[in-house]
Amino acid sequence: MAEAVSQVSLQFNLNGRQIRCEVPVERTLADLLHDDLGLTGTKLGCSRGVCGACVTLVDGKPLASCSTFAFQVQGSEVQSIEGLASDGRLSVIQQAFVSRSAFQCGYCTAGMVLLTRALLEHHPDPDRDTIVEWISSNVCRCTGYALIIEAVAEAARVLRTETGK
Amino acid sequence: MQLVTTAGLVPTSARSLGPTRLYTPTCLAEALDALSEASNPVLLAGGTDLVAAFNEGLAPGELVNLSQMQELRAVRATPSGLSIGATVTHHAGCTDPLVREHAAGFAQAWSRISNPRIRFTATLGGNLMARRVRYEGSILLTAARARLEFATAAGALQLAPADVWEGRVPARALLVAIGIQTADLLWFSYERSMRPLITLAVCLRKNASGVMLTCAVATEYLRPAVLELSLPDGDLAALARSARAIARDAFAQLPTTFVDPVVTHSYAMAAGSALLARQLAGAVHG
Repeated sequence: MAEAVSQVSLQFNLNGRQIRCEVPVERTLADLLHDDLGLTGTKLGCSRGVCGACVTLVDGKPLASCSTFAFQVQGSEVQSIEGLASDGRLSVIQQAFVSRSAFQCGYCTAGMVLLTRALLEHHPDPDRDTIVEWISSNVCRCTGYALIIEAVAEAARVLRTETGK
Repeated sequence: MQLVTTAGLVPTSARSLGPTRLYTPTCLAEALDALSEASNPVLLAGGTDLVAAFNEGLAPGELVNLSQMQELRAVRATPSGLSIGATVTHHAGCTDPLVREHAAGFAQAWSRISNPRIRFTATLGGNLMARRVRYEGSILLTAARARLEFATAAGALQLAPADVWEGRVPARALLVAIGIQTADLLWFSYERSMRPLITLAVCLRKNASGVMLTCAVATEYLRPAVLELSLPDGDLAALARSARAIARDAFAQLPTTFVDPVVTHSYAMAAGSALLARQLAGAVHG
């Protein structure tokens, strides 16, 4: 017989660090990351899983953290935007967004960058249609997407060169 | 402003979710126990739209998290076709080797549900049971004449996708699997127009007298209507050559009540038959 609980003892890996905490069942992953753990790169936009500003990678898959309960990441590897740069150096994807000026207000950028990371894991050499299909998962109200698509293509090129694929 | 916020047009913050209790069953018996014990249970499959539903006013007493029930996440070959577990995600389902082998057109249509971010998490069962007219799962499964297998405290139950819309699913029933007959499946296709939306899923099956066409047509505001047409035996190339006539005959059955705030009946007839003709004409190319 399964027991009903109102709090969950949560353990997961966040950006390479083991996290243990107690969370109420109704706590969303976005609130846990942003408010409880202080990772403010996770942006809350629509609060209904549509805009993608709050995208977080859970076991490599892009999820809207506003619509994911914290307890759903039990035992998972979670990556937020804060986990991409290392030793003060931006990741290839972040650098591509900077060099292409693929943002204006920047509110969607963390979600776009993480979505791009998932895209390039699945499609290391994406064609334009694949990039458009993936990037259309998230909403950007400033750029018209053209520069974001260019940034994704550039990041893919650089990563392929670096990895020799 | 108060009127707007209470109408649900402005999403309230997820922080407004009240204290909720959680069941995490690991097998069917535990899930049925939880559904029986809970005061006001809400099932959590992929959960991609559940917080949105809470923001719109759904107030669960308890969540029943189905993620640990392995039996709901399998695709199996059956003597007549496929049994797709209710919590198979869109991504897992449309890339599943069994689905691709036995129902390639359905797999292709399934791959077009939602966007890549949602596909990794959202499930076919959740899509159907959400009862949202804009969701495509019901349209695909209606055209495929899917059988829905439910578990209830009183035993197993088989229903059709239309029964979900008609409110014939018993309270506290759990969708376990979705059965699709594939032995007689010739071809399956799906297409959606620009706004105003007309969405079509088309299935061709071989039967004793020839070929049966089943077309499920829906709009942004209307649940699927079913059009059926018995066609003479013939290969897909022959059907493709008669695409316009077949589409016209099929849409002649469209009920006159098939209208919504932006789609008139004549528009639905014209746009729907054009979409169907285009799909059928493409059948010859696979």
